[in-house]
Amino acid sequence: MAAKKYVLIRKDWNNFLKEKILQNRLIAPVFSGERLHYQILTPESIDQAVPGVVRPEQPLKFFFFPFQEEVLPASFVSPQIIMGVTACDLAGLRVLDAVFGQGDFKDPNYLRRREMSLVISSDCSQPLDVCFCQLVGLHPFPQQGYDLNLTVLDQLLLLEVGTDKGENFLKDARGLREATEEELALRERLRQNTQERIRQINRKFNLPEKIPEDISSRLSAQEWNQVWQSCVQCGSCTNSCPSCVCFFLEDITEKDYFRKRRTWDSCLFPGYARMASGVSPRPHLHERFRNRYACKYTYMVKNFNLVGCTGCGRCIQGCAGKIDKRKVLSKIIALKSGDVLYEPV
Amino acid sequence: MNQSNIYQPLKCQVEKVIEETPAIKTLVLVPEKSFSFQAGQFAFLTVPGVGEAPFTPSSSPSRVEKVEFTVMKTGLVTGAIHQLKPGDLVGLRGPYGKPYPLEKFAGKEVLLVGGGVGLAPLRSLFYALMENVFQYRKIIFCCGAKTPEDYLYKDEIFSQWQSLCQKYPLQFRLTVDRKTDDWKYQEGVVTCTLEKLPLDISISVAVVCGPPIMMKFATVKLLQEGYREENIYLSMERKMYCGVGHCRHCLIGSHFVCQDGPVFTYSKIKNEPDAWA
Repeated sequence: MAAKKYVLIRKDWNNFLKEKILQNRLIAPVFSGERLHYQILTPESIDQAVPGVVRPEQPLKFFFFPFQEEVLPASFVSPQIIMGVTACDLAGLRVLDAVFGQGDFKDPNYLRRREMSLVISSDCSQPLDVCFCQLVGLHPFPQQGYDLNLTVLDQLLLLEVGTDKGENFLKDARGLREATEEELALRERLRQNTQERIRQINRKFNLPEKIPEDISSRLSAQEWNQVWQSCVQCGSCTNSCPSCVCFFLEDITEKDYFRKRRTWDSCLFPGYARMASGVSPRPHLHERFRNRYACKYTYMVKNFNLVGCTGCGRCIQGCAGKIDKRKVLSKIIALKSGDVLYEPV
Repeated sequence: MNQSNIYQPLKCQVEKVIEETPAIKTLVLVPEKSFSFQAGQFAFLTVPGVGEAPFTPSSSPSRVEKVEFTVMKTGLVTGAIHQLKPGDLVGLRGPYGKPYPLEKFAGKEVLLVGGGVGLAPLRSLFYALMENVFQYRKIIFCCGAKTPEDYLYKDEIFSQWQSLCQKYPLQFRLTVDRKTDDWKYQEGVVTCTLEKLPLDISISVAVVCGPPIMMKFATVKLLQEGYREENIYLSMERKMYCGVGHCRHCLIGSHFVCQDGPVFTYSKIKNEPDAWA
C-alpha cells in the first residue's frame, strides 16, 4: 500500500501544532542569526519554526541521548514532538536505535524517549557547503524512519505518513486533503534540485560515489600520521556527530541506593581508552584519529550493518583544526587504492 | 539480576578480605541473591560513590552464594576496593561476556598460562575444569609471578592443588622472575615454562591470562611451539563502562571486549591494529 500523502496550508498546520503543544514538548529548527538551532517552542513562538531548510547545528541525538543524565535510576521522560528532522539526522537515529534499542540490553531512558517521541522529518532544500550525505549512501530527503515527513511547497506543506503513529497524530488535523499528482511532481523536482546541489558542492573532492567501507585499513600508521593534519583533539566532531554514542558512567551513589550518571565521551581524548594501569591501546593521536574513521566507516558497518557517518558535515563545520573530512578521505583514496593491512608503528 | 534497568547492581556484603600479596587482595562477597556466572565471564564491582570497574571472578562458577574477586591495586576504584572491610556494601553487576568455551576443550590437552593477577580468572577456570577433570586428556598449569611473595593463592598452588597431581592428569609448572633461596621451582619469565611442553600440541588448547606484555610474548612462544592461532585463548583487558556493548570504550577493532570477549582467540584479534595495548 502506498504511503498516504496529504497537503495542508502552513497556517492550519501551525494552529494544529498549537493544540498539540499542550500535551507534548515541541522541538523544531529556528533561525538564530544565520544558523538553525533545534529549539523548544511555545504556542507563541510556533511560527518561527523553519522545517525543510537544512539540518540544524545540534545533532538530533541531544533529544534522545542527552549530553549528561542519570541512567540509574532512569530519568524522567516526557512526550515530545520533533519537527524538521533531516534525512541525515534520521540516519543517526537509526544508529542510536541499533546501539541502545536492540540486542539483549536495552537502554531504559532511550527506549522510553523513543516511545514517547513523534518524529516529523522534512526534506532538505538548502544544503550547506559541508553537506555530503550522498557520499554515504543517503539522500537529502527522508526515505525511512519517520512518523511523518514534511515537504515545504511554498505556503503549502506536503505530509507523507510513515507510521501508524504518524497517521493517528493527524487524526484531528483540519484542512487536510490528499496531495495531487502535480504537487508530488513538484516535490520530486525540488528533491532532484537539492541532490544536484549536493553533487556540485562535493564535485571538487573527487570522491567515489560511496565512501568505501574498508577505508580505515587502507593506510599504514605512517600514512595516517600524515593525514590527521591539525586535529587538536577537542572532541567537537564527536559531540556534534548525530551517530557518535560513546559515553562514560560515573557512580554517584549515596548510602546504599545505587545511582549512575552518564556523560558523552570522545574517542579522540587521550584518556578515552586509558586503563587504570596508565596504558592506552591508542596512545598516539594519529591512532585515535584513525580509530574514529574506522568506527564510522568500518566498525559500525560490521556491528550494525549501518554506516556510522551520515554526511551531515557537522564535524567539518565545528572542527577547531579546520579539518575537512572529505579532504582526508580523498587523500586516503589517492594515497592508496589497494587493500593493505594496517601495520601499527 | 534486576532486569528493569541494565545498570542496576546487586547488593553484596564483603564477608572477608584476603591479602594475597602486598598489592593484591581477594574479596569474598555475599550477594543478596545468588549470582551465577560461567568461568571467563566478568562483572562490575561498584564501590558506592567511588566508581565501577570490571573484574573476572576468581572463585568456582558452581558456587553461587559467595563470589570471589581478586583485585590488584592500580587505580581509583581498585584503590577503594583495597580499603574495603568485612561488612561493607558493594555493588555487583553482571555477568557479562562470553565464557571460556569448555565444550571445545573437551577431549583436549589444556594448557593454562597465567602471570601475576592474571591467575585470578584462571583459578575460576581451573575449578570449572576440575569438576569434569576426566573430560580433558591433560591439564598443565603454568604460573608466573615476579617473586615468590607475589604469588596468589599460595595455599592452593603450593599445596592443595599440587596434591591433586597424583590423582589426576594434572601438572604444574611454576616460575618467578627473581627467585629467593627457598624457591624450588623455575626462575625466569612465564614463557620459560613453555619450553618442551609434555603435550600433544595438535590436540591442545592454550589459555593465557596476564599483563599484555606477558600475553604477547606467551602467544609468540606458543605459535613457535606449534599452537594454531585459533587454539590460543587470550583474556583481553580494556577500559570499560557499560559492559553491554553501548559505550564503545572496549572495542578492539570492531569486537566488543564486553560482549564478544573478554576471551578471544588469537586468530580473531591478530589483525586489529590496537589489539596489544
